[in-house]
Amino acid sequence: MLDHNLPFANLNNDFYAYSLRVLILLKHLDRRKKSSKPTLNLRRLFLYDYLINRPFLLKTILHRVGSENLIILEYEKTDIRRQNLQSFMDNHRLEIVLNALISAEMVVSDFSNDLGLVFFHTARGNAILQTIRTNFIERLEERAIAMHRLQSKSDFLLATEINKIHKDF
Amino acid sequence: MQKHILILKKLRIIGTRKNYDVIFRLGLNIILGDSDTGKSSILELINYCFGASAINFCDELEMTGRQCLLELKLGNDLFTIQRDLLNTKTWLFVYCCDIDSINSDSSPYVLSTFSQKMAPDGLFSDFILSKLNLPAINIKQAPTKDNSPMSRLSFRDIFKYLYLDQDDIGSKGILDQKNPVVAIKNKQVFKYIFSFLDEEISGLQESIAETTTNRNDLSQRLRIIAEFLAEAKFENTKEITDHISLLQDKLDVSQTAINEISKKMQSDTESVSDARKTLFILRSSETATRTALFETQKNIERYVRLKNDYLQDLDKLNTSSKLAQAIPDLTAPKKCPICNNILSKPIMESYFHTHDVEIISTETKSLKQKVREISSILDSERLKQQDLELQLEDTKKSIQEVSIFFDDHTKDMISPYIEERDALISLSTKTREEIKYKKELLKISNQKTMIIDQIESYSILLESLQKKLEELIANAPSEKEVLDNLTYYLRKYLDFISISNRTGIYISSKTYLPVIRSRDYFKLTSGGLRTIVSVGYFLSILNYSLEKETSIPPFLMLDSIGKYLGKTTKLKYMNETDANEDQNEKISDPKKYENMYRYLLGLIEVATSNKQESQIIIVDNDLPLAIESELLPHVIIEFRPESDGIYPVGLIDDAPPIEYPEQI
Repeated sequence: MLDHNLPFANLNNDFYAYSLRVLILLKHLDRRKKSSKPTLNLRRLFLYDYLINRPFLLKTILHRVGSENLIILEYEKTDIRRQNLQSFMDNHRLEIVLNALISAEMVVSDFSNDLGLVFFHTARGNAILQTIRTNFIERLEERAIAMHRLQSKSDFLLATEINKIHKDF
Repeated sequence: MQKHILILKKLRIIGTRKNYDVIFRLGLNIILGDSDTGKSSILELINYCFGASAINFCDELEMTGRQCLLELKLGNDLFTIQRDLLNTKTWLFVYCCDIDSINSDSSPYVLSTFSQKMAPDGLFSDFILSKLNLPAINIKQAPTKDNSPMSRLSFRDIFKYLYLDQDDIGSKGILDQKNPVVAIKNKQVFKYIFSFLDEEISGLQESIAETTTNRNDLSQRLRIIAEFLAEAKFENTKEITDHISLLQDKLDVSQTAINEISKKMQSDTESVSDARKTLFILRSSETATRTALFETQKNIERYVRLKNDYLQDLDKLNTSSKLAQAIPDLTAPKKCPICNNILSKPIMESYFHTHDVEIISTETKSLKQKVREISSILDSERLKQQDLELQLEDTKKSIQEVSIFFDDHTKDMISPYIEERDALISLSTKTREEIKYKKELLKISNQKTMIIDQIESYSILLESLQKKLEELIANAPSEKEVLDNLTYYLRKYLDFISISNRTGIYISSKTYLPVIRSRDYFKLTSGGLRTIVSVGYFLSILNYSLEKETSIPPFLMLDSIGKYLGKTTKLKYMNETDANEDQNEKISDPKKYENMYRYLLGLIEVATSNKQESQIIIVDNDLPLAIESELLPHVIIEFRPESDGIYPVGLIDDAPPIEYPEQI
């Protein structure tokens, strides 16, 4: 459980920042093409969120799959943290965020025979996202666009690559 | 009084089963025995005890013998020589007592032969020579050359004239005639024995050889020096000395000029000293400014990064706050579409920080304050940076100005001096080198003068040495005198033996060996005649030593004097004689053989009448019948294997029978 009595805002564990990431991922990566069906199930969304929140890890994975498009800032280079591995195993917080976003009608879910429960954003979710324009959101969107190169890779491959990089560190 | 005494007393072989003794007497000693009974081995063992490099063993001796001891009188003292029979490289031990007195407390001399590693007490040969009162000298290897190398006279050289073994008796190769180098040395030894090469003459010859060598070496050096000086176009010593003093003056002048220039340069240098100091201060200031500027730039970078971090955090807070406003209704409990659980605010708060507006507002204010402060610091750092950049620019300009002044001054004021001084230094270095070279030449020239003086003094010394040598040789017994005396003794012996045709008998001045019927000894074809003559030659030397002054003791060992006289039993010797000649010479006539023994008895009488201690040891198969009764008292040992125990069977009288392999 988390300590709630901190005298300052802990932005790394902020519910709204997490919700924002999920909305951006669904906006940019929920379908491979505009006309195709949604593909983001809980597992895939979790992997994407894990990467978008760790720019250096993301750049390394992209480099391994042959893409060099992502530019990361100086302070983003130090995001490999000890708790990474633990949080990599725990997707309960994502479930809570999705639940909240579905309740707010910003995200809906559907059942797919291949992928199980899949998620995609609603017009309301997109509209809210459009109203907030900050540097923070722009940086997240840049990463989400760069992650298009990962759409063709399987969950297993992504998880293996993330594990390998963690072991190297 | 007798000068050189060598008398054997006892020979003992220490064997594996027992010891074997042979006792010797003064005068004539006859060892009789059948073939291969070990009688010659007795003489071989004596020879071995006197330092022979090897020994020919008979089978019984080789199997039984371990040590050999020889008790003998040398001069007036009694000694015992001990030598290992199994290892010829073992040193010899000489005890100063008779054989039976040797015990564990006896402390012997430890001596070596020439072929061994040097022993603690020196050479065995030198020991024997000193005990025989014979001088140990060096003799010339090439007698006709003044600077011939010298070799040490050994007792072994003299012993050749004291032991005529069964191979040499009657042999054409007597006294190393088949080896010219050794034969020449033997001639020198002969001269030594008969004192026409005595110690002083030999010493003088050695000095002359040494002086001649030294003079020749110096002449060689002189020639090399003269050639060098000629090549170097050497003036005479006075000219060189004058030249050196001129060069020295030139060097002094150069040195004075250099000193003056150095003084001038120093005074001029003082005027630029201030400029140099200023330049130093300016350069230090430039370095300090650069360091401060670098530090400021680093600080600016650090503050900019921090400011960006704060701005990032502000941006995040702003984003989070805006989203919180956009998603207002998250606090009511909801049913989870994934797991069907109820989601409520408390559950949510247990997983996330849900900041209230107040905290966010405070945090935002705090961050904005930090951004303002850091912006202010950044402004002041940037101002500082500008100041430092200006300061650095000014310092650079000043350095440039001072440097230009400094370089111009150095170029105008110092450079001409430096050029002049360098020229002078180069000149004085050259002059110094020239002086050094001239001095070397002078040294060599002086060396030449010294060598010439030395050669001259060597020449004077050589002249006086030669003169002294001539005087000594003139006073020493002449070669002719010695050879005439030896001829007399030989002729007397041959007359006594009564050989036929006793003409042309003398001792050759060329070989120092007998000449019979005007034919050299080694050209005689009759082996029997050669035996008679060779024995006669050795007896003549003995006779001479009994009656006149020599450097040889009156001692002689003769092995098989009946060789070629109808008593030769060994086949190997039969091919070396002409049987017809032997027949013509009537060698087999027992009278001749008998006369040889009679002559030996006569010699012993001469020794007795001259009160000389003398010893002759003869090895033979049997005695001439006509004088057997006269000779029997002189027989010291007789070996007869088939005498049914009357006589010992051989030297090793308890040897088990040897089984030889059957010959095919």
